[in-house]
Amino acid sequence: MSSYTLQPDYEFRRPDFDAGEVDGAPDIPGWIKEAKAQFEDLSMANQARTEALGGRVLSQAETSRSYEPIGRGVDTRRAEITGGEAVRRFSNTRAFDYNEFAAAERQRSAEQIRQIEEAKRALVLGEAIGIARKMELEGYLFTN
Amino acid sequence: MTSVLKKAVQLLTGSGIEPGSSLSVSKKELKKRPLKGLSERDLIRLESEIGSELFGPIPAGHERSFFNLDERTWIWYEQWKDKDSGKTMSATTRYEIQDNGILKIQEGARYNFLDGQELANFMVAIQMYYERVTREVYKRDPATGKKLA
Repeated sequence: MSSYTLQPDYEFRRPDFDAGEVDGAPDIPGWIKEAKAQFEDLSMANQARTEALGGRVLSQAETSRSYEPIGRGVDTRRAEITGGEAVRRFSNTRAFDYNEFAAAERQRSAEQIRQIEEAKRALVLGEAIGIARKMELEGYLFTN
Repeated sequence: MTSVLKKAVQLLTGSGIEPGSSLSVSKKELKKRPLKGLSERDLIRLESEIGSELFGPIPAGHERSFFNLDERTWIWYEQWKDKDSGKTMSATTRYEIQDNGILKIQEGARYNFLDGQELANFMVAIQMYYERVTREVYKRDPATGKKLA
């Protein structure tokens, strides 16, 4: 099989985990990014609501409504009245659902544990193959 | 497996082996080594012939290699001729075993940790690779490391 090569003529570039180049890298978990994006959406939504109400600061009760799951409590009526880009964004905002978030986090943790365990298994197999190869090369016969 | 690893490490490091122990090489036994004289690259080439069969039929005109390069690295290499240009094309994927997962690295700075079904498939493939290579190339029992009769 003449085509195979152990050393391709290009170099693999290792990702820069510290710079967050890889989603799901251990130091920058993807779920943190998702949560952050959701909070940013909420912030925009609250700003939009404030604008829709003529700049009046929302009461705690009004603000808390936007934390309810979508389809319940998201006030699209005001968006229709005022129009405008920011308000339309509000009407489309998916509200933060803690239960959904916690479930996703648990699932992600389980998947990460699985990935770590499988990596350990893969390392053992790799070591075992390397040892069998080495023993063959060096002429050792394991007779015990 | 632990026992095999332990003994192999002892062999490689030269520690803990007493003269006259059961780990020894006799002239008679050396004659049982059909692979004697092959280099590490040759052995990997033999392993890769098995590795290339693990993922089902290879498309016509394609050549495939899948092998273990070292304890932390697995390589998938595929080569084919482009139908239109006739140019030889190739793709290399490297799987790097890291402490927190298995990183898949492809050309163009594409990389991701294996997960879901892809991770399951990879694990089955390397388990099969180990079982078959140990038996068919090195003539050893995958469970005990002992030479097969």
